[in-house]
Amino acid sequence: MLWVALATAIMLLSGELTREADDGAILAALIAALRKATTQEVTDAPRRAAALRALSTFEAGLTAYRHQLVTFKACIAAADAKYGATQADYDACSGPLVVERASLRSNLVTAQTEYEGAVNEAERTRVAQAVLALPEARLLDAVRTGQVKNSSSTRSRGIEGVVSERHVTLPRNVVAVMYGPLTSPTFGQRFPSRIIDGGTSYAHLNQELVDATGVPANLWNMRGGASVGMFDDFEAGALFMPLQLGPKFHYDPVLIFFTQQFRFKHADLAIRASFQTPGDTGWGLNPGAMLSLPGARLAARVGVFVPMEVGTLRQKLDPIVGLNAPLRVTWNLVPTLFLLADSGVAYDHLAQKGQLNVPLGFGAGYSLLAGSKVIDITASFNWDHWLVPAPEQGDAHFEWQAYRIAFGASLYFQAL
Amino acid sequence: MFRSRLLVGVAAVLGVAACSSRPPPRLAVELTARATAKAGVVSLVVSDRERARRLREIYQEVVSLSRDLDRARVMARAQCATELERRATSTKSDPIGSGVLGCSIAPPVTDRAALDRYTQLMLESRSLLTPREFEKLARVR
Repeated sequence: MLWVALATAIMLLSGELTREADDGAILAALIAALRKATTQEVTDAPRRAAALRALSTFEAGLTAYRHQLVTFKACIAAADAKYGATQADYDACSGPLVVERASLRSNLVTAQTEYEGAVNEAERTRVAQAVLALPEARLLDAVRTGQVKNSSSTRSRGIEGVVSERHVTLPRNVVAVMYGPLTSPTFGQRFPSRIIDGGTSYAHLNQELVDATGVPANLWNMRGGASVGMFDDFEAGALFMPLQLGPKFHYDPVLIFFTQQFRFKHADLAIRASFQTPGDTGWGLNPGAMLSLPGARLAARVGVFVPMEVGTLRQKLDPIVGLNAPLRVTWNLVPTLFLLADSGVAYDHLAQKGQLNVPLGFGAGYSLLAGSKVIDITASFNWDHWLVPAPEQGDAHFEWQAYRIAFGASLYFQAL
Repeated sequence: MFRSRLLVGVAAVLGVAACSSRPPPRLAVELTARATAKAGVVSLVVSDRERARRLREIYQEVVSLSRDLDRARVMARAQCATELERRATSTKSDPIGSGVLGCSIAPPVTDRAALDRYTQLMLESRSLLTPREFEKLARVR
């Protein structure tokens, strides 16, 4: 309900609902205005009554036209939903339409003649002036000029099923309920003090990293949230259920993100602004950009982010600024089953030496269609500090003992 | 204080939006919505890549046909209005006398070609789907 309300509100405010609607409501408003103006301008009672009778025919005609459309649309929808539908089923929908429309046209031509007979030239001019002053009268200009009322949408609004074919942001009105790793909004969400992904996760750090970061050696988290495609290429969302389950239970900072995408023929470029509500190190910010190459079987995504933790106004801290360039390759073995490899480079604290890391991770997932919803069941295994090429002390080495496992599921559906 | 007012404002907008009735969409919008909903997920339902590809093409053609339907309807209205205006005795701006209102309410049916193509595509889609696959896709929208 919340999503329907949100999507409707956005469509309403952006004028998209009006662009998608049939013209029935506008025409009804115009006829009502004609009735009002005719009542005011035609002073002679018998002529006024005749003119209003003619307008009633227009009103009845509009009602009949709208009824025809509703019946026709329902008939087509019923045929579309029937596996055994034949040409005859579709013909039965459009067959009566021609006859009904011709009869309606003839009634309206008669009503037009009656109206013209009842209202003189001067009165008609005044009525027309009153009606044409309304914003709804723009429709009449559009009718004269043959202007097509196109939806402003440039992107399909259906759920994108195959993972490797998905764009960076969700299509408009599509909602994702995220409770699994490897979703698009959590790509590159590596802050200096924590790495954020959806689902249930267990992270194990070796003693060296525990000492360096102050993060517990065994960490259980549960993170869930939602995102919504607010416009064709703009998505917003939050991981608003960020729980640390162990070693001690507490609420982690909430992650909020906004992504704007620019679609090209074979690639998507996106900019994302993410921030975390204050935690131990204050506000977290993670602005960045992504380049995504979707494909039928293989997809790649690379990003550059500048994560930082900046304290708060009350609790001033020296900002911790990092640099993160994640890389993800997705391979759909079949449309429903996919594998992922994550890597890249990450420098968690630019002010300190030896913080360069090369992470390595793998993931797998299964997408299934359940009714009108798509569910991705996902799991991932990551070494977030897999290769330390230039530590402050010692030689380059691999960190096999620090790993993170995550699993969960994410749900996608159309709000409208 | 400001924050609570803002929250109340947002809640009120969402509440009004949720309770307001949506104006009925045009036929073209409904057909597009059904086709795009299926096009995105057809590969998850139909495992055979070749059939899935053709089905996706069909749904994409429905989207472009929907645009044709819109165009045909608008052109029919415009043509009807132009013809009546030529014959009209009253001023062009008069919505009734010029015939524009009548043509807007009941334009002639001229979109048969697009509708016939739509029927062909829908029948072809059935030939590419098993009943089970069809039912799954029909549930999408």
